Amino acid sequence: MIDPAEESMVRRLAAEGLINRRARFRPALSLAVAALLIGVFWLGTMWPTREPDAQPAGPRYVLLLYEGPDYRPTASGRAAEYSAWARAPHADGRVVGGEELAGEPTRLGPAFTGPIPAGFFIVEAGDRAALLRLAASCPHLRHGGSIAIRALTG
Amino acid sequence: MSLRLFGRAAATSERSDFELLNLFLVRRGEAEFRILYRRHTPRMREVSRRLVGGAASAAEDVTQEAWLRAVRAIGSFERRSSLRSWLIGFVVNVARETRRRAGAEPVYMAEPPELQGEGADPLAMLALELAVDALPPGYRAVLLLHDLGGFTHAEIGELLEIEEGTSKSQLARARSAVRARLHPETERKR
Repeated sequence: MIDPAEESMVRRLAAEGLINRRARFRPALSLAVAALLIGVFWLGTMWPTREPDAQPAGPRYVLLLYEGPDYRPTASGRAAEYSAWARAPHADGRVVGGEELAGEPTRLGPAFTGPIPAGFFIVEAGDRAALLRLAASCPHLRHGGSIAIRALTG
Repeated sequence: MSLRLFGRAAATSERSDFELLNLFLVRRGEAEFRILYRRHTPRMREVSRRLVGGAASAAEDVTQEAWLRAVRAIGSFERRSSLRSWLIGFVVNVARETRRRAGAEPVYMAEPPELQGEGADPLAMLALELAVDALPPGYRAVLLLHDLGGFTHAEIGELLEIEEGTSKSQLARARSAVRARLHPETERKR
């Protein structure tokens, strides 16, 4: 049973623009979309495609992971958790790879005192919104860490 | 480096508070909000009922107002505490304002006793309110949950996801800070 107070709160938050409401079910629109999808699927069978795995999800980015003062590592270590996230399928893109960076950095060149990343992931995402959703699901944020996103130019 | 895929991503309802919060901050989704709402509202209602007393509708109003303020401020949540503890902080503040508007006695404290009761000087009560206002949010929540809501330290620990001992020490520090603000001369001599 739906809680009337919950419904009222969702309406108030939506009225203030604080949440985006889900699209309401519209039978006519749903039928039109279904027909379109069937049409696209049928057209798709008419000519050959590449293997799905070979398809990039979009441009590539690197997620640089910083620990910072609020970072709270898990008791069991992060390797398994981060690896599970990297290997899981994501609706918003794909994690291509990643590594944890260990030890004190060897510094060359002029003095540099900026923060040093603790690891990185390379990801692919179709657009900026998908990229942000994918990055936001990274467990590093849940532990209080920070992520800097940079586009790979190659 | 190539990674072999295995397993499935956790369903949205199985995600942790912070994972849902991250998703909510990015897409402001109704689905993420509803899961967080259903997860935390029962506790918030329980605290509201204890702090406000009286009609259930008053406690419900407090809970709803607390959610509204929390969502407005959610972008500034620094995650130094659990989400539950942060939300309870809003309930405590809104409940206190509600009691104040209703003309209820602002706060019951074991110390200082001269500020309790019907005959308390209104100016002294105002000073007490201001002293409580000046407390850091965590201390204020513990003080009000304990002295106004009658929660035990074990219950406060469970609510705010802190150790029972931490609740005790924060209550002592909160009272000391209030005393220092109300009676700076006496406190300096201690």
